[in-house]
Parts: sequence; structure tokens; C-alpha cells
Amino acid sequence: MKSRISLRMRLAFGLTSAMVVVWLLAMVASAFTLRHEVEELSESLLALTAERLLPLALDSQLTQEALGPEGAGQAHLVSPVAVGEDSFVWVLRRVADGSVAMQTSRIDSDLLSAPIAEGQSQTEHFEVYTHLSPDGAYAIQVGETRDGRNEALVETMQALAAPLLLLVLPFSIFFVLWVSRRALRPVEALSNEVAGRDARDLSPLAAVALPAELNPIHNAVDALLERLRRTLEAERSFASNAAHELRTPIAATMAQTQRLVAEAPEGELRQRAQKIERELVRIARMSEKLLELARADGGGVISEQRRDLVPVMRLVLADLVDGSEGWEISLPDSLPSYLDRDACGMVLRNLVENAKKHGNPSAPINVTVTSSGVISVTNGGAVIAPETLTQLTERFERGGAQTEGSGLGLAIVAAVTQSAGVGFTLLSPAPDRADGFCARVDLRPLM
Amino acid sequence: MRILLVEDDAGLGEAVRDQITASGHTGDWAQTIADAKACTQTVSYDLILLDLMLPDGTGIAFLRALRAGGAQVPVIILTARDRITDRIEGLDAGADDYLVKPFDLAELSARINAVARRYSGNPNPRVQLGALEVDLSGRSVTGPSGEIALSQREWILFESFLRHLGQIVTKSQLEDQLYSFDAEVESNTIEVYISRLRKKLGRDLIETHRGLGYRLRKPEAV
Repeated sequence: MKSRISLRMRLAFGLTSAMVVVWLLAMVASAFTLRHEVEELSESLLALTAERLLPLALDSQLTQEALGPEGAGQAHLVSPVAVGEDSFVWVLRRVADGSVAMQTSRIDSDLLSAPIAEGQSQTEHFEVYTHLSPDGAYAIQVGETRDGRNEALVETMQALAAPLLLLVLPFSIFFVLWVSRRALRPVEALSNEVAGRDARDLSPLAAVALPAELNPIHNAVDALLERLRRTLEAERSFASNAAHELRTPIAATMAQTQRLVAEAPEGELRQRAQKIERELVRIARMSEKLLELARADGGGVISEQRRDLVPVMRLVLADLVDGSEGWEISLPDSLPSYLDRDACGMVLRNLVENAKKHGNPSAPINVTVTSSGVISVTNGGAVIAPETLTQLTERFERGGAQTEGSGLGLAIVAAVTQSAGVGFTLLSPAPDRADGFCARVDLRPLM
Repeated sequence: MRILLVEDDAGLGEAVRDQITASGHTGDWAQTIADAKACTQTVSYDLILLDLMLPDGTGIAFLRALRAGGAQVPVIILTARDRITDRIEGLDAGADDYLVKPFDLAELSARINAVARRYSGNPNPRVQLGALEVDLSGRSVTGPSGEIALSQREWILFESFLRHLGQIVTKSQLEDQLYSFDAEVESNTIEVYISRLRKKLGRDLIETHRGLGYRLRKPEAV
């Protein structure tokens, strides 16, 4: 099976991813807006700077020219404008020949490629604003490196992204996990309840307060359980009814055959009738065991009230015990238990029939029921290998026996005890003996 | 014994009725509760074989009604219901025995005899009657000179006397034992068979009480 992805993790990653995507889209939109605003602001700033610097630069230039002819035509170096550190540079140029009259100490020749015309222009590295002196002789060009603008933009974006990465993202994952854990607790409870069910418990799920989204699942599981229960019940009741309905025709056929045996003259006809009778006895026995197995599989082996099982045991034993066989029987005065009386009858009947069928005929059968609720049926016979013992409770398993058993007796006991949740142990050799076989049913959990 | 079989299945009913007859009893067969009620109101039965699932009701209800009416006739339930609780319910309702289908006819006969003996107050199948030794289960009578062969009808009458040892049995009671509803009663049959029984078992064994009936003498009186 493929590894299953946790719904909580999917929710956490899904929601967080969605949030990140939205955040990033918002950042991109912000970046565009910001860039536009920064450019507007920068352009205003460049224009303002140029307008403010021009009188000062002109004044300085004119002073310089007045001092002497040696100063004329030379570029004067000044400190860069202290805005955005060295991202702003400016140059005072003579309009007539484009020569530099005055400039900041660090200047890129790229700035000089800007056209000397009033207004905004771009060079390779600079955004440039050119402002002409009133007489048109000089022009001041203020440039801002494009890197500087980008840097401002990047820093702003980083400021926006940092909380997303450092705070929002982990917090979001944690929060979604926490909320989803709380929200999915009913799912966990529902899952535990379904997982805790076994094949025999098909009752509706417990009525718990579930979120509206889970109610359809709860109802669907209940509906599925109900359909399963009906299907299983139908199968079991069919098996049970079929076996039951077969009883009367089998009884009629057997009785007619027995009359035929009684009335037929000695010879082949009577022998044939006897063979039919023997086969009918086998069919009857198999039908009876299938009916018992269907009942054992069908559950209903627990009674709502504790009932005394000893009268049932006495009835069963009265049917099966032949006084001349020297049986040892020990029953308590009473044995109140939640085990259904019919189930108890099935268990004891099959254990004793098994002992009679497969035990050593010369060794007495011992039936002991303790007042604490342990039923032990012991018979003589060769020791059974452990691997054979484990197979004896399987259906139609005869453990290599040559007797005409149905192979269902111990399987019926196993089905009843499993349904009832009580212990069923097979021992060979029997306790305190060197040989024999002991089947033990421990009813103590139902006492 | 006059036995009422209440069984709705034709195949089983027929075979059981034949078995009853072959075992030396007289049998009537009812297939519904209504027929069974009519039979029990007409004849005093020595035993009833009762199925539980009948077309017009349950055998348990019929049995309860029978017991509620004071009837002490032995009842053996023959049923497909094999649960131990069904059996307990049947016995609690007043059944004397409970046989689950399919059953062995020989076992049915044995149980019929056992229940009948229990009711007669002598559960021992061997009865000593003066010099005669009677084996009820083996249906044999042995005298000082050996086994005495009895015909089926002779045995039916003799067994009826044994069940009412020392008591007067009326001619109509004896006729009930001999004839089922579908048989034609012959007027002097009882006298003929009483005469044969006296010839085989001893003249003084069966007394005639004019206008009342017949009586099998108790052993000490024989």
C-alpha cells in the first residue's frame, strides 16, 4: 500500500502554500506600485535637487570665473549630494559645448551621455534630470544610479518578505496543524471506534457530536454496517433455516428407510436399504453440525442475564452418557454464567461427542466442570502431536482420524468460544496423564 | 397402547404410524392441532407423539392446554427444533420426553415403552406375573414350559391389562386399544382374543366382570 499522507499535513502545507502564494502576489503587486511611487518620488527629488543645486553651482561657477581666467574651462570637483550616500551625482555643464564646469568628485562618464535638454532622461546607469540656467548657458544634470533605486525597492521587498519567512510561515504551519488536530479529533475517535470493531460487532457507531462534514461519513459507515449485518444475517439465517428445514424431510426419508429395512426380506434389498440408512444418518449428522456452526458463527452466544448452566449440562450429558461406560462426571451445584444456554449445550455436546468418537473406547471419559467455570472433557488415547492439535479446531479437520466424524465438532466449540470471548484450549497428553486428550473451555470471563 | 401421533409431514407420519403398529400398538394420526383435539376428546390415549410446528398452531400450546385440562397422558415431543432451550420449554410445558428429528425409529419405540412403563408405575421392562415372566421391551412372555407366542392383537390386549394390573378394563377401552379410527370394529373380537389369551396364559389369569369388563389378576392373587 502506498504511504498515506496525513490530512493534517496536507491541510497545513496546502493552506500555508496558498497563503504564501497570496502573500507573494501581494508583494509583487506592492513591488510594482512601490516601484512606480519610488520613481515618481525620485524624479521629483532629482528635479528638486537640480533646481536647488543650480543657483548654488552657478554662483560658485561665476565666482570661479571672476577669480581668474586660469580657473575658466576647468571642472570643479565638489562632494556628492548626501542623499542616498553616493547614489546621487551631479554635473554643471556648459550648454554651448557640453563641457563640464563643475561636478561631484565621483562621476561616471555615462552621466555625460545624457542629452542637455530640460527634463528627464536616462543613460545606461542613471536616471538623469537636466535643468537649464535661466540664461541657457549652463545646465545642471543630477543623476541617480538605477542600482540605488533598485536597492531601495529590494530592501522594501525584503522587509515585506522577512516576516513571512521568519514568522508567518512557521506560525501558519503550526497553527494549521494545531487547529486541524483539534478539528480532526472526532475523526480520530470515529476511526478508533471503527478500528476497534471485529467481524461480529456490526452494531451502529456510537452517537457522538461530529462536525457537519463528518456526519455523512458517520452515516455512511452506519449504513454500510447495517447492510453488512443484514447480509451476514441473511447468510446465517439461510444456513440455519436450510439445515432446520432439512431436518423433517431427512427424518421422513430415514424413517421410511428404516421401515423398509424392517419390512424387506433378508437379502440384497434389505442390505441396500441399510446402506441408504447409513448414508442418511451421515447426512443428518452433517446437517445438524452445519446448523450448529451457522448458529455459532451468528453470534448471540452471550445472554443478557446470568443463567444457571448446570441443568443444561445435565440434559446434554443425560443424552450422551451411557451409564455402563464408567464415565466420571463432576458438576457443581450451580454455575450462573452469561454464556447463552444453547451455546453452552452446543459446547458441551460437541466436546463430549468428540471424546466419545475419537477417544479410546476402553478408557473412561471424564467430564469436569468447576464451580469457577472451567469445563474439561478428557478422554484416553494416543498423544496427539502439537501441530495436529492446532489444526483440530479448523473446519472439516479430522486430525487424521479414521472415524466418521463431521470434522466440525471442535470448530463449532472454537466458534462459540471465540464469539463469547472465552478461552478454549486443547491439551495432549491430558493433564496428570501420560496419554489422552483434554479439551478445556474457560468460562470465567462470563461468570 | 393406543397412541396418538400428531405430525403434519406425510412421509414421516406414515413411517412413524407403521412403526407404532409394528411395535404392537394402535395408532391414530392427526395432522393438525384441531384433529388432535378432536381425537383426545373422543379417545383416552395411552401416549401422544407430538410435533411442535403444525399448520394450525404450535404443539407446545396444544400440550399446555392438554395439561391445563388435567390430562395426564404421557407426551413425547418429536420436533426439528433442537435447541436445548426448546427442549427445556417442551419439558416445562409437560412433555415426558423430547426427540429431535431425524430420529431412529427403534429409539422412538424404546422411548415409547420407557415412558409407558414410567406411567404404569413400574419402570422395569421385566414383569413377573406368577409363573409367567413378561419382557415388555422384547414383547415376549415366558411360561414354565418356555416362551409363549402371542399374536400382535393378543399382545396389545395383554399389555393393556398389564398397564392396568388388578383394575377392571372395560370392553370399549380394550376396543380402543385394538382399533384405530380407520379400522372396522367387529362385535365379538374382544371376547375371541380374551379366550385365546386365557388358553395360552392360564384360565384364571383374566377375570370377567359381567357388565363391567375384564381384570388381570395381580400375581399374588393368581
